[in-house]
Amino acid sequence: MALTVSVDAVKNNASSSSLHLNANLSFEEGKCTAILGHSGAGKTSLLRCVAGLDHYPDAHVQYDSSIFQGNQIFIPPHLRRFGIIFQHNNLFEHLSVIDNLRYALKRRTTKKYANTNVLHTNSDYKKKPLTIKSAAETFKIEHLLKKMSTNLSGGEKQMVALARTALTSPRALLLDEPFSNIDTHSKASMIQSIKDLSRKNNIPVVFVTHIFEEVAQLADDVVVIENGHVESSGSLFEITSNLHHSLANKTNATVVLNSRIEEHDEEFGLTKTSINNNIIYIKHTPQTIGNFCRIRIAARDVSICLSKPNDSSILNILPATIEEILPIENTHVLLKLDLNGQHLLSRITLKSCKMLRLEKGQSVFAQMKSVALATDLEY
Amino acid sequence: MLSPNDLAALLITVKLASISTLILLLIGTPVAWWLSRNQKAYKTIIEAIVALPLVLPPTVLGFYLLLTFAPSSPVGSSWFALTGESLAFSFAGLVFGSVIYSFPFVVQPLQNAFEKIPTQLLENATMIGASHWDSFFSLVIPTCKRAFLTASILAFAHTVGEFGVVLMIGGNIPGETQVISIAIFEHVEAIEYDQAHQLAGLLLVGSFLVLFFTYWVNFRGKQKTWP
Repeated sequence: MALTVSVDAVKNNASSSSLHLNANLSFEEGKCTAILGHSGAGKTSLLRCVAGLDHYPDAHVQYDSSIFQGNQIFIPPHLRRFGIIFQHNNLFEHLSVIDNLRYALKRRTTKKYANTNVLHTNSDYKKKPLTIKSAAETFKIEHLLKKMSTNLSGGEKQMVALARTALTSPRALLLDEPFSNIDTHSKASMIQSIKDLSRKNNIPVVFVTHIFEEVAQLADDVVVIENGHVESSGSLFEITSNLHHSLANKTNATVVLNSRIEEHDEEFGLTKTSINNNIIYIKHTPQTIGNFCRIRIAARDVSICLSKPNDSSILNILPATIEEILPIENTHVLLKLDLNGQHLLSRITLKSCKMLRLEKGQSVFAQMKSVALATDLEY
Repeated sequence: MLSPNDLAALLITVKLASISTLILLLIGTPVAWWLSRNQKAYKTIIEAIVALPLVLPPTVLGFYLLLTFAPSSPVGSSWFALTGESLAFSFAGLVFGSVIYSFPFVVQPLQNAFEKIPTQLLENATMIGASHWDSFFSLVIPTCKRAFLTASILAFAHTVGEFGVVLMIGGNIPGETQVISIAIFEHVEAIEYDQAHQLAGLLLVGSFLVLFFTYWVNFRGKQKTWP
């Protein structure tokens, strides 16, 4: 089951030129889909269409068997039970934090709203709906409850907004660049909370952003929007390792890989992880062994050797097969490497490529100069 | 002490101002809301019409109102059909005139306050599950309560202070349409300075107290919001 939207309409904007919005998307339950694109590409318009905040004629929005828009139906946004978090202006500033939470709780139980409730049966909140107390605990905002909303930091405001949204037991979560005004630490804990919320309740998260770093941390699926239409879509791992994709075709191309925590090496401050039996060391991260974490590897940090070097300072050297070679910028080539199913990109000079006589299908060793965790708080 | 006529004028003034303020809030709030949320160019026409009483001499307004109230006009005749009374030179006519005359004093402060509410805040309330009416009462009114206070005080004070329009459309019927400002005028004309002093002094002190109260509440409100 999934939340689906299809829209084909021209949006006329008073301030800017008109935009032809044409998209047909599906957002999976329990997963986070990032909508990535430049400003003005139509990301926010798409989100507002799903929310029902903007009315596009002939758009179709459906979740499971509930139709929110289509066939002469238009369910107003306040009855849709979709949570939303904007970049700014989420909290009601005339109210304290606890009253902001009460505002949501009070409206969760109104009859009309409750009737539209088709929460997933596996949902935690279906079994045991949040109370102010449990929400404050879950989102670690107990110490803020008495404060006025105006006296919170940017990160605290967004966390309270997330808690308030969770109190409404949303069946989908819509995020419109929610991390733009917050520090790195708040961002990491908020991302973790969003993932928990999504997975525990099996709800889809739609996340609009123009920052790839945020996508690497949060998204499972990625949709790239350009000029109102879908340029490409797929899983984060597919999209980042696709050579012909606009994300890879840049000097800062980066792949995201799923790596399993194997053991902690306290002595050297490292954590041993593995991708399909290939060992990768990363900076020590306090995570349970057996969990998966996301790591990011930039294409320019990956170099190629034909034989396994035994005298290199580089720790992470993995056997790989060249799957594709793509010349870029006349001086460099981008290599797509296969690591038993997961993919790695390497950006080397054209000269090196010729000297090593690299070709498709060849077995090589990939040396990774640096491997970073996508976030410090990962599953 | 006030003479019975002066006392009647005082009561009529307070009654007129109270009723007008109530009606003004009921009509002015939706108009101000519409103006604050509308981005279309044609709204400027409405804004200009709303602001007209600010610049027109009261006599101009009074003259047109008098024509409107005439039993031969559509408004005057429908009112007569409805109530059996003439609109001109009646208390109802005074309320009618006051509402139009004080309209901008209610709409403008409310519109300014409404415009300051970010659209995203309202959309947040919507997504939490609040209908338009719900978010208006739970979000807009509490955030704009000082603007509502200012608008009410201005409407009340401005109605108390009107003279030209009342004279044109209300005539000067003691006990019916004679308000304080006109009673004072009468006393001065008749060289009854003592009575004029009493009423004028009452208005002066009363107006000062009301305005002082408004500014004080606004001042305290600001201290609270931005510490």
